[in-house]
Order: sequence, then C-alpha cells, then structure tokens
Amino acid sequence: MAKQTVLEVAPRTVLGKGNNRLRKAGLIPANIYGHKQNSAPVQVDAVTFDRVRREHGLRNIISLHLPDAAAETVLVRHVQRDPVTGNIIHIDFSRVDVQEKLEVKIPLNFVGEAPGVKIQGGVLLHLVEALGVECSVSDIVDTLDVDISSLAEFDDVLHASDVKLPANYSLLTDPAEPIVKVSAPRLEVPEIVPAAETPVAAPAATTEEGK
Amino acid sequence: MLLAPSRTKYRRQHRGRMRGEAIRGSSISFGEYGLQALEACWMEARQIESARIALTRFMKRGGKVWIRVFPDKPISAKPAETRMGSGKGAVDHWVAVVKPGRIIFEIGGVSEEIAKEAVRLAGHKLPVRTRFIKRGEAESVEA
Repeated sequence: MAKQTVLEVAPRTVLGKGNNRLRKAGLIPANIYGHKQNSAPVQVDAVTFDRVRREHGLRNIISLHLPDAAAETVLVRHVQRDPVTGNIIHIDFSRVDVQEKLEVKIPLNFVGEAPGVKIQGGVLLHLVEALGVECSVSDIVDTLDVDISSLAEFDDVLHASDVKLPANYSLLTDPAEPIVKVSAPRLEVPEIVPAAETPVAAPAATTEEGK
Repeated sequence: MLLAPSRTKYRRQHRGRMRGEAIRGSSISFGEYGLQALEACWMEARQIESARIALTRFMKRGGKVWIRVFPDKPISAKPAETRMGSGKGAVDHWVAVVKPGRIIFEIGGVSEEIAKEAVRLAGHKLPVRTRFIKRGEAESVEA
C-alpha cells in the first residue's frame, strides 16, 4: 500500500536555460501536470527531495505543498539525471486521484537462487527491468518479487506472465516477453582463433568502396 | 578480432566535433555493472579490444560482457616520409566517438568485487577517465 509523503515545493518563475542557475543554487526544477489542468512549473530543494527519495522511494503518493495553494496529490513520473554527475536535473510530478487506476512501470526484484546459476554455473541475465501494469494509485508497490528458483537449466526463461501480480493488477507488458534467463557461461576465450581469421576478414573491412 | 564495419557507404569521413555529453547509451541496459567514460575521445578499435581482453581475462570463466560502443569512424593517415599533397591518405584505423557519460562495457553474472576489479583493469587500457557504475545508480527513472 502506497504511503503518502509530504514535500514542500515553491512556484518557479525561471524557465528554460535559466534553470541551470537554480540547479547551481541547490534547487531542482520540476513540473506538475495531469488531470487536464495546466502544467505548473515548480522548484524543489534538492536535499529535501533526496531525503524523501531515500526514505520513501519514488513510487509513493506525494502530497505537494505549494504556498498559498491547495495541496496536490501527485506521483513521481520521471526523474531525469545528468549522465555524468548523476545529479537530478528535472522531476515530473503527475496529478493523481488515490482511487484512480493508472499505468505504471514497477521494477522487478529477483528473489531466491536459480539452480542453473548456483549448481550449473550459468549466468543470470535480467532481460527486463520493470513491468508495465495497470493498478489503482493506492495499490502501487515498490517492487514486484519474481521467484527465480525454478530456473534449473541453461536457457530456462521466465516470462512476464510468470510474475505473480498483486490483486487488482493487470499486466500491460506482453505476457510472452522474457524477463529473466539463465545463459550458459562464457568459455575461456581461445586467443589463437582471432589471429587465424584476421588475414581474411581485415581486407574485407576496407576494400568496399562507395562512389 | 578488432571491431570494424564490414562495409561502408563512403570510405573517408570528416573529423567532426565532440561537443556535449552522451545522451544515448548512458545507462546500463543489459548487465548489472558497467564502465562509463567521463571524458570525450576517439576510442580506437585496438583500445576497445585491449580493454575487453583485460575484462574477460580477469573474469575468467563466467559472467557476460557487452560492448556498447562500435568503432565506425574511419581515420585516414598518410604513409611515413610522404610529401604533402596528392590527396587524403588511406584509412588507417577505426574509432568510436565517445562522449562523457557513455557506457563502454557492461558486465553481468559476476560478483560486484570481481566486476569492480575487472572494470579497473579495463579502464587503464582506455584513453579517458572512467568509472565503475551499477545498474539503477545515477540513471534517469521513469515510472
């Protein structure tokens, strides 16, 4: 069951490239949208948001408190990070009703030990990170547990349909989509094999010409 | 074997610019751990291969490695002791244009300690500063 967290935000007047100044000042630009109302630019204190994220996760219902306005019930829809520093650049908040049904992506949590990995020495490949489901806002869970103890042999696969969903959840991802697989271990790379192929393959890479 | 395109539409390319940061290929998609570039460079096929060998040798058997960059840019060079002129040189080698934030390798199926050490060894073979990155860490999240 999703818990409700309180987060203080302030209206944002800076738009576009001016947001870089906000980021340097320790604020994160964000937007609140949804429910056919106008999008509202806001700013959040980076330290406060980080504390909320660590304590409550990203899939809880958040009550956004704006000064001189009614509180908004929202969900975090997107957190954009800088690819190099990892700092949060922007947050999307989506307005929700607690009873409303909506589509969300919930990350998978693999539990148990696969005999194909432990005994046979295979490699567990996580093919899908999160499953798309439809559920009511109050029923959103942080992760979906997937028991991988049935993966006994190489090339054993679990599909999206094998995940036990909580009640009132409906699966949106293709049920036949593979989510986790045991792959055979990589063999010791024989160093001689590539050398034998080089004379044949190398000219082919450069002989082809355009116009 | 060194990575190189099997055929190309045009033999030579302009040098181009390497501005900005990697947007695509900056998050872990296949494995659990990765090696991320923190600077921009032209990464040669030999350097990628050398780093791959360092990774796989340390991991011995087990685990899986994904190479997330491909050297598809031809670099030409004139032969030694040649007078200037007479057109552009022949294709000498191939490079991948790498921007800061780009994931170069991904690793799966090994413990974090092994992955960290393998990434450290592989990073020494590359011409840029790199870092070890875990899945879900410092990545954009969509719900």
